[in-house]
Amino acid sequence: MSEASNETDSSYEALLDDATIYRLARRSSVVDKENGTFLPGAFLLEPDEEGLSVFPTETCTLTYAIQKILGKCHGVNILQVGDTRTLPVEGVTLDVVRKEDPMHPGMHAEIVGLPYIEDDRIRANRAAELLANASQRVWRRGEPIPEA
Amino acid sequence: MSSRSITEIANETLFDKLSARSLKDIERVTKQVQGWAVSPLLTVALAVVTRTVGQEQWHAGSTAIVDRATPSNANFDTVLERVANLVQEAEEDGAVSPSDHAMAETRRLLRATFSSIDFIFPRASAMSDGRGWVHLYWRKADRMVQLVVPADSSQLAYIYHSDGEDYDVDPGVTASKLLLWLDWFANA
Repeated sequence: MSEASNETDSSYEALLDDATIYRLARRSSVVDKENGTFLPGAFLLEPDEEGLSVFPTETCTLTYAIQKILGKCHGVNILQVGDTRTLPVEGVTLDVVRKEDPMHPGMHAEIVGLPYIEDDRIRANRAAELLANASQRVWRRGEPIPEA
Repeated sequence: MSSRSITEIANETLFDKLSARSLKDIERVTKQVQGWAVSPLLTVALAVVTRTVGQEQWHAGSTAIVDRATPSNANFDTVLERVANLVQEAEEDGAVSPSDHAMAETRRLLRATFSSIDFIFPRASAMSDGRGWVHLYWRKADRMVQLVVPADSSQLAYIYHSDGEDYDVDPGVTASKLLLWLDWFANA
């Protein structure tokens, strides 16, 4: 397993602390069947990811996030960038940087600095738990789209 | 056929082979067994067949169900169902499915834990990931237990647990270990 990208490339613009970002649920199982919250697993790095995909609300509308980004979106949560940077996990420093996605120009960013669970399961799971707790539910599949 | 063997057969049929854990299943199985009408002794035997499931005793009567489905059993059924649904959910999402090993090991651990639990089995949420792993989450305000079962036997399952600002991993999961953590979670 390669190291996750935990440094900010100079070509990647860091988002401001007060910026907000959407995190989308690609898998239905990351949404808690009891209460619709995101399970911590929604914030675990997948093996093929270097950072967690997120979409700044400044450039990506909720409608676009729900309808255009994933083939099937199961839910959207929102996070404040500053909360990710101050996540209290010793040895883990997160940042949120723009990372261009040709499919969605100007709309994509990543939370970088997360360890993989294969490499550091304690910190990876703790960071995922705290990110889930720091995020707020915005939309779940089956609900009307607030902005529509 | 002796009454002892009838009891054994009924016990096994009701509770093991058909996994009659829910009220619906018990009703169905009871009707099925009554329909066999093998021997009058069978209905007598059924009236006394009991099996301890934690602190709850499940009784199958010849004419009625004595006990109804307990929250413990209902929660356990829900968790097993959520685990079972992971494969279909992943397929529908075009995502990596949980591995056969992860599914089987998760079920084995759950069943072995449930067989010796003496408190209400807490409900868990089930998730699979792009590695083919299965994750079960027991969550409440400040406390969480997470069972993580990797895709193959080369990596051991583990339990991540947190309580406020304290968190750690307990490696190498056994049913007795999971039971202790669920007790810690449920009976804080």
